[in-house]
Amino acid sequence: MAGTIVADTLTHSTAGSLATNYVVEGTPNYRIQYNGSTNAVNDSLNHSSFTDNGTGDYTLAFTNSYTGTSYSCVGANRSPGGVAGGPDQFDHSASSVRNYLFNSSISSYDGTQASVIISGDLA
Amino acid sequence: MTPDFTGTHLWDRLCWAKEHLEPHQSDYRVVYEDSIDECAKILAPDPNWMACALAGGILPPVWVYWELAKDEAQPGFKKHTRGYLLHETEPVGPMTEEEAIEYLIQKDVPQHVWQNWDEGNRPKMVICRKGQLPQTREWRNAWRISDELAA
Repeated sequence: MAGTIVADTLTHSTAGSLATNYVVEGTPNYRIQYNGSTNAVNDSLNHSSFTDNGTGDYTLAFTNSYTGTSYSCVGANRSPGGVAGGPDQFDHSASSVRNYLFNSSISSYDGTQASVIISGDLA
Repeated sequence: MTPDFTGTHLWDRLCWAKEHLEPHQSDYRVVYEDSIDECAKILAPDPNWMACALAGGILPPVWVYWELAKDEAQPGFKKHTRGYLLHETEPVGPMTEEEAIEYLIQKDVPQHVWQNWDEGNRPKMVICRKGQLPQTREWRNAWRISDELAA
């Protein structure tokens, strides 16, 4: 296939070798940046829909599901007045994750610039 | 035009789409109530996903997701073993925007909502335009499907 390099190992002249499965499996395979106030998705990959469950409470659904729920996810909230936000490790499945945003009073809050990145084994 | 992706890993298809398709911002929203104790929820389609649906040849048939959901609902589920369904099932062809919304409802809205959305005293789900939603988020956690909209 044009533009494809098939290799199991990358070797540097002095620094050693790296198995390419670390590169493939370690690359984030889901990402989203969204506005929780307008429900607008600014950018995404492997994302099918965004569900606004209420103030500061969102469900993010994947197009390519994961093998299970052992994927790693991190969230960020860069919204004005927002201090925290993150995926709920107890409320996620192989096909979606729930993300919450909070303000400086640790109250639910509709952040205007939230993001989530996930890395894990795809189904 | 979408290449022939039959047998290509879904992830690779999504990466191709991200690079080659223009995101499509849909004006449709799906409002649903899946619990009497919670406010109405609002589903918005992803622009990149919608581009895949309109282009065709990228997304698997929606029944593939139902099969995976069945597996995940089994007691003691730990890991998907039928992920190949996502990659090896022939992708669906181009959809209209309305067909894409129907597909998305059947994929991402809880089955107990869309399977009997019109049973009971009032509808549990409504497809509407973005402009039909409240213009501010005041009292967001008390929003319900209005009887007027449901009619």
